[in-house]
Amino acid sequence: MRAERLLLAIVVLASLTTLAYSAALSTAQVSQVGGTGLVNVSKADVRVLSVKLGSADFAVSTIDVVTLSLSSTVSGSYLVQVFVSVGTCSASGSTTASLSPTATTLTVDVSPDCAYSSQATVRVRVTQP
Amino acid sequence: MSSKPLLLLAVAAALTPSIIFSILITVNQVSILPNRPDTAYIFGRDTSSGAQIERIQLNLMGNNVATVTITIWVPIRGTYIKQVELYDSSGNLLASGSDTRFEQGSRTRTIDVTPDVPIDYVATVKACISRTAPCL
Repeated sequence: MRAERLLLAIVVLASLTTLAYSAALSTAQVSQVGGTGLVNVSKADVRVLSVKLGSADFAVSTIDVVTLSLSSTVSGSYLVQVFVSVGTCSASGSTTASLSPTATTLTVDVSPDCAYSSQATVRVRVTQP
Repeated sequence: MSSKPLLLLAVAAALTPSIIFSILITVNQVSILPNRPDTAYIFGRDTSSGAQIERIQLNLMGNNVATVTITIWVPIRGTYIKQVELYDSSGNLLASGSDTRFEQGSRTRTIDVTPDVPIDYVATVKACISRTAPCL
């Protein structure tokens, strides 16, 4: 009799826990019992291996395109944003790409075109899409 | 049936949904977070001669940057010094290298950088070119 009561208590407790867990997952932003929100669990080292200015093969006078070579230690889809700064001209462009540990070449159109008349800075930002 | 196996069976049956739920949630919530989302490349241009850097490439040996290949455009022939510098995200210089030689037109040069540094530490790559004074 005592064992049956104990058994009943455990089953009821376990059932209530499951119900509470399910309700929390269905109605709230709880991602794990005991935690809140989403947890990023996969850290990626994104590598920008090369950057080329402009669409011309040589004697680049206008930066209308930036060609990149990128890789990531974690394969997946990434948002690649490019910000170009030449003197007072600022341009940007973006694309979504699938990156992997093997280098991928991307061509990103930037707008507006910037004249390559002085030192140019290209900032590449890689995030989740 | 004795009460002990029944007890174990009941506990296992009650906990199974929770375990399955946990596995599903864990798998579904894996997301990719780049360690360092921004990388900057600085392309130098010698405004007096029009010489300019047009492409920069990091060459790896393992995970370390060993050399940097640059493509330059030199409209006025002469002797030019090309320098490359690698910085971390705090702006500290990690490695550098340079090359000086006679140049004209479109050229690709590979420059050794010392010391070798892990590419994942490199946040900014700077390459510049300038014309050296002509020899008399």
